[in-house]
Amino acid sequence: MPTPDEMRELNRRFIEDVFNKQDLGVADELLADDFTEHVDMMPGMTPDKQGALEWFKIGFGMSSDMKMEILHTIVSGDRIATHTVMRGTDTGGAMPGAPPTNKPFEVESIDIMRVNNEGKFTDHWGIADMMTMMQQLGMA
Amino acid sequence: MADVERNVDVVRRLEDAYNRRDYSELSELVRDDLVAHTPSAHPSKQDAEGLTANNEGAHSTFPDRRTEIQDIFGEGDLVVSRVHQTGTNTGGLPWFDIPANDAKVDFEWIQISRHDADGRIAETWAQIDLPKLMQQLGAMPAPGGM
Repeated sequence: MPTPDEMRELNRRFIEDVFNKQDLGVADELLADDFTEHVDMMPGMTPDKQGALEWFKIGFGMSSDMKMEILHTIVSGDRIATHTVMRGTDTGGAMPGAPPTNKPFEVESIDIMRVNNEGKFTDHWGIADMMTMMQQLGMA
Repeated sequence: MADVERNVDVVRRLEDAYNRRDYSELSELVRDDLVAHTPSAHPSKQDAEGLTANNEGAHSTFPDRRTEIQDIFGEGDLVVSRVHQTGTNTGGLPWFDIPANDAKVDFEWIQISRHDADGRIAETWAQIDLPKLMQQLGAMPAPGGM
């Protein structure tokens, strides 16, 4: 089992490389083959590793400048919780199905990931402040 | 009891108190200068009276309201809890302009709490699956996803 510091480093790398550098290869490397996504997926997407990778690919197109910053982390056993803020500009249609607004957004999320003995993520639960994002983009 | 276990226990006791609508231990569990960060709002100060009013409001909207902690753990002075709530909207949500409509809700929130040296909750950050809640209440169209 990874140590708490190793868990934090794994999490930091996931956020830095996958979200901030948009490196899909790192997502492929760090998600376990039996990964389960517990957040409701978009229609047609499966709540597994393949679905998560598809979701990231779509997510990368939503904003050309989005950056995620870690505000808090909590590690215990095989789980790590992360409170983040994501800032960016809606250059690519950040709300699925809606055209780009080119407005800035700043949205907080809290996520929980489970890590296996090999240091790969096996589960994800998370909630983002979508209502605030919709307000910032003038959709609510 | 180690501080982390004690802090986790405080969150469990508070959730249990809210379910039982018993506010007698609130001042042992939460500081009266609690700062609460909730979605779509500026951080607000909450005292025991405010927390009681919030919980009573939730129970008047959903008289059968039940919450269950799905996951909880802590580190340092922080605790994270993932909570599942069910209920039936037989009371209405006046502040969202939603009438009583017998809609069943079934959604989650995740909260991080920061605890003081006595274990009392000093600050909270919560994310609620509001789009799902609003859809279940019939107040928002079904999404393209996210």
